[in-house]
Amino acid sequence: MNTSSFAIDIPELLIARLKRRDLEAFEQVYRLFDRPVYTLALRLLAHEAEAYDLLQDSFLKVFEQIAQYRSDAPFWAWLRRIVVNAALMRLRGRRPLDELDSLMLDHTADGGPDPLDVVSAHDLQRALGRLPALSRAVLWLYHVEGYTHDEIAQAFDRTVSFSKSQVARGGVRLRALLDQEDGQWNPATIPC
Amino acid sequence: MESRDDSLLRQRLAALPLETPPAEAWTAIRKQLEARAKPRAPRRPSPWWLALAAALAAVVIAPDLQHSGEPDAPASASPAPDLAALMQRSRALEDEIRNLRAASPAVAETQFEWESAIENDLALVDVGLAVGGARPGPLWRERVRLLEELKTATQMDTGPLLLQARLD
Repeated sequence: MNTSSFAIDIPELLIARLKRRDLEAFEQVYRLFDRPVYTLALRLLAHEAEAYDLLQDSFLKVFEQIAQYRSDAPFWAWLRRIVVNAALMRLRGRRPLDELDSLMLDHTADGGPDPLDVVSAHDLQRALGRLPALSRAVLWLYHVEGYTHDEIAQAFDRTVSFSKSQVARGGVRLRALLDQEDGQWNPATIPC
Repeated sequence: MESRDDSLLRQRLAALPLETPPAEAWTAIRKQLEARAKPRAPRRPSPWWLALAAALAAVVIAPDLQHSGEPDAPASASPAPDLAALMQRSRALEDEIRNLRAASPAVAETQFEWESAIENDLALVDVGLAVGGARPGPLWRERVRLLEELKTATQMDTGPLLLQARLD
């Protein structure tokens, strides 16, 4: 199931105009994709200023690399790959992802009600932002962008098992964070 | 088969609202795009050896030829019908390419390389035609073919693949 907000098909003519570096065409494309690009950047980076930079970098890269785009894949998928790759580059530049990941404690289901059944969008967003970068990125790409485990493994230069494990653990951890929302949960207080 | 947990998680995440970037983002991007959109290279290269060949043709060969304008007109005053058609097509293609370039003066680097490669081949053909020969037909046909390719290159950016095919 494709739940990606990127899945917007654009006419060949618009792509041809992009290739001729028509700035009005670029604006049209920007207006179509600015929110999906910015949202993906925010979900992966969980940082507004970085997401804003990534938005700009991504569209400038489209401008520079549009000649390389081939219509055998949808434009939106090509654009999304640019955004994901740039986001992962930025994440790699942060603290080691595995180290961040190790700050989290695994949470086992306690048999109570699923917090996802009752949580508000605001609280879910907040909990998502608190996930370690690695878990958050994998979880989002898998569940929302519809990436397969193979594609995630390739993007992160890891194995398929890594992707499966992150998806499973990320879901558990997100629920744990939602459970702890009322208890002012703070990862910094968790002993390593 | 997706579990209920996964399905619920997917639904909730996908239902999160889209975020809107700051309003000034496009203005900032546009400013940078305008700076980058300026032509990075002149359209018309002028290979030194082409100028040399033209000069040699003018000094050594031109006195024997009765043509002007077209670099490659055949020696006879009235070319064969198929040759005349090729020459006419050649002139028409040159006009079309000139108009296309006037309409879109900027050119990407890859496209510029591609066009330059075709123009180098065209220059060789023109030198061959200027030298003259008993059978100009094949050279004219090649000239038309190259101009068709140049027109395609000018019209659209089919990019590195075609360039690579040509270089191979």
